Amino acid sequence: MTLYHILFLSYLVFSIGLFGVLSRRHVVGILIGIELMFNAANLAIVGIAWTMGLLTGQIIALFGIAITAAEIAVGLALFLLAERLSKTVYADEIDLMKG
Amino acid sequence: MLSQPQILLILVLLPPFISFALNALIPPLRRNRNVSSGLSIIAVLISTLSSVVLLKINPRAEFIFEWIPLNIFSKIEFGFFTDPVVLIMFFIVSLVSLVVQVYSLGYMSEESPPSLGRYYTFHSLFTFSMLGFVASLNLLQIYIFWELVGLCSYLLIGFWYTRPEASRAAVKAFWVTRFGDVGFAIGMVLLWGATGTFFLPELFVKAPDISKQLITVCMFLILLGAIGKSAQFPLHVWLPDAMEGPTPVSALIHAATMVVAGIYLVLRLFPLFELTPDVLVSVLWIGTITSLLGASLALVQNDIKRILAYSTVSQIGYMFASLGAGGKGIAFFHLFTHAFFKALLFLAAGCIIHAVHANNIWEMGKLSKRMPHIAILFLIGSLSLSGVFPFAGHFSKDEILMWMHIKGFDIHFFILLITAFLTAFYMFRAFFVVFFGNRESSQESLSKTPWIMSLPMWILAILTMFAGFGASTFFNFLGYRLEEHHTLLEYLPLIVSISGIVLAWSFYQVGYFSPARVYSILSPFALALERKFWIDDTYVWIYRNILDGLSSLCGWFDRYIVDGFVNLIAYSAKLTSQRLRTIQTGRTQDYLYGIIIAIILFFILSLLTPYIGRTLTEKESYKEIQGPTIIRGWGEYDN
Repeated sequence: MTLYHILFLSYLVFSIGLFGVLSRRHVVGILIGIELMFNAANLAIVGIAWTMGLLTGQIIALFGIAITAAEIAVGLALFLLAERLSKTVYADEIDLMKG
Repeated sequence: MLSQPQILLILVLLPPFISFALNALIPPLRRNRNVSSGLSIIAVLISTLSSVVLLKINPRAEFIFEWIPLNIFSKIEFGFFTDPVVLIMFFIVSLVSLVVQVYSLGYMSEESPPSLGRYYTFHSLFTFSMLGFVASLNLLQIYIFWELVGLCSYLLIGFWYTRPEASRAAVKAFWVTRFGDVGFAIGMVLLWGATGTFFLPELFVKAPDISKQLITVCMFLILLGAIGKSAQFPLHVWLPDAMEGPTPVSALIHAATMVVAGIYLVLRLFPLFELTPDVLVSVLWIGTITSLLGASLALVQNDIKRILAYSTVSQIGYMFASLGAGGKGIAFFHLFTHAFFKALLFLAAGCIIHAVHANNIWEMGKLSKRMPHIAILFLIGSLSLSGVFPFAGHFSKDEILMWMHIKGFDIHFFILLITAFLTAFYMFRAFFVVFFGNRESSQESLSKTPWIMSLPMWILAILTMFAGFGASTFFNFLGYRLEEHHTLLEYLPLIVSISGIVLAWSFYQVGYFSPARVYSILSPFALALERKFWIDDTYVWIYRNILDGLSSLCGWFDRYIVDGFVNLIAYSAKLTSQRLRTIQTGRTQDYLYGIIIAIILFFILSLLTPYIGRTLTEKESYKEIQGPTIIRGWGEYDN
């Protein structure tokens, strides 16, 4: 297993996550997509650090996971509020940001 | 420190302004009937007393301050000063204002308190601006006060602004006088351009050095302002219409403030006018024509106030003619006497109108029995205006006519003599019709004139009766020498006046001649008079056809070219933003697309840009990544 394989996997997961974020209508689906993208990034960091024989990458990834958890919590809270305001769970029907 | 004359000068000028400021800025004062009128009258009383004291000590006082400190060309100094002419004007203006304001207490008693407050506020400003105008030392300052006088007369003529005629008359007065003022402004600035100063004493010194043509143009333009203000031909059309204002206002405008300002301006700038004989000749002709025009137009008027208005036009014409002939002291003397008897006539007419509630002389009739008091006052005024001995008007009018004769202006002498005859005729036409007319007006008793209205009139009447005898004192005070003349012609004006009165008597009192028959014999001429010599019609035609056409052309240009250009810009901005705003859907994912597209674009850009896109050199790689291995071909590393 080379760095090449790891980065390819990371790229694959990131793309799947991006596709999910952009194509899902349901807000939870979007959050899952974001989570996938985060994980892809973490994977890339850990992989690169590992190939260089460093532990720094894994520590950064740990921090990343913690931040992600907080992020998702905030995201879910926002989603709940948005759902309550616009009575829908579909992202394309929520246009509260329209100026 | 201020010297005593300076304090007195300030005491003349400031009280009306303080009264105006208090009334204007503090509405509770203005809304109180007694406070507003009391303030105004006390202020003008202080002015009058100070001006009397000033007349007595006759000082030369100055009060100069810097207005615009311009270091580039010349600083502009404003100032007030006194000389005999100013002192007499102070006396006339403040006294007539005082008399008129006291009279107004009775005349305007039916007004609501706020309206009365407004009336007195304007009156205070009017008095202040006229006093300031009279004492000004600077041409620019004169212009400012000049416009203030115009503004006040506009406000007071249109005082009953709910009546359309009144507001139209006010606008007309403002419009016509403004037309002259444009000339004044241009002339003034041209004069400044040539001499570099607005300060009158400096101007008089520097003016003779200017080229003849330029100063003629300047003075002619300034004269245009004076013609507009003093209602001289061809800008006299506003004055008769100004009769829509309250009668005391007419008295003030005609006797002491508005129309007199034009005469005073010519008098004050006389050293400049003397340099331009051409302009002086036109002053002479304008004055002569106006006096005849005013008198002949007064012949056919039926409104008592309009008769008086045309008589003012005519009398101011006398003053202009006298100024044009070089008799400035005499013109000023006529101004002095005219102020009293014209104010008296207007106030008396106001009493009649107040009692009868009509302006038309044919609706009055037989008032001599019911208002004997007013009849005597009106008679004094009429005799004075007609120039009958021993009333004030006789002396001044006589002086003017004699001056014309002595200086060899025989045509003008003759025209003014005819005018004197017409003056006597139309005044006594009004007098006989109003007080002895045949019409049996209703027998109900007329409201008695309150003392607050009759007292001011008696003051004026006494002045009218005795001011004429002060002629020599007056001229001594001014420092002019009165030329002695003893010819038989001296009695001609008096004879002419009396024959005018007799003719009016035989027409309208005893009925030797029928006015209607004379009217029909002279019908073409009478028609011309009825149509006011078509002067108003000409102005209306010019206005309707030429000015309206021009302004609609300008309007078209503004609406379609200027506005069109602006609208085009606005429209294109609107169109662009309408297109652009569709991007902003408010949906999160659309924004994400935007972000991602941007990132991809930046990535492509980074590949294209030399620095970012190049691979690291070996040295740089060592410096930046301090790890055990170096990335050199990612695939090569094998765990």
